[in-house]
Amino acid sequence: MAKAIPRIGSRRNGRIGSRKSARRIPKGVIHVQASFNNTIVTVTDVRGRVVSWSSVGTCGFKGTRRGTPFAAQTAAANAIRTVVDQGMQRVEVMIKSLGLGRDAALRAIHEVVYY
Amino acid sequence: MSVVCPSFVHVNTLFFRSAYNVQVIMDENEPDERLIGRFRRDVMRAGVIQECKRRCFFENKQDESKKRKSDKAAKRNCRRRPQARNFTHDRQEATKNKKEEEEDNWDLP
Repeated sequence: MAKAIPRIGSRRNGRIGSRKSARRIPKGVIHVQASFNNTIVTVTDVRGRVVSWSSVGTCGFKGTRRGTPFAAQTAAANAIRTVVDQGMQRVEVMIKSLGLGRDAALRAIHEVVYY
Repeated sequence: MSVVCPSFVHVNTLFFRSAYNVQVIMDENEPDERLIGRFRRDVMRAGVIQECKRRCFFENKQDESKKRKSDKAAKRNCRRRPQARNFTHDRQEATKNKKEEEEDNWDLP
């Protein structure tokens, strides 16, 4: 088999690697997917490129406890922790799905922002 | 209803740039309870939860038309019997009963 020729080109819409130092993102979007069995919180920039994410499962909850609002609260706090120090000033929160984690995640975000 | 993107059928695309049904903008130093209350009220008004329940299970045409009929009837009944009227009616009855009891003369002549 012939060796593949590496393609050289600029990919502006590509993933942001961790090679660069931590970017300062003044505006961001927090996506909260609150399903009945889990809550996933993803922090992205305005274009949609992911900065950090956290879910209830990664916070250590298992089974039926993943669907609880307290778990959603911890997941949201976890996800925002990395971004708070980067100086994010304006945030848009997009909530998807019906679940108990909707209000709880929103409350956690509000708490982190104001206290 | 356009079929360009089926999940966007009930979304207010004329008003919002992205595919969301409800937008709540937070004021400065707004307490979280008020914000969440506003959000829940707007969601209820937009009818998102009803729509999700409807899409949970398949509904054949017969069931769909039955449901629409029963929803219309329920709305009509709601409008025909406002709760305020019943409340004042009970009060009047209670006052009437009291008056009758006072007029009753239990003493022997």
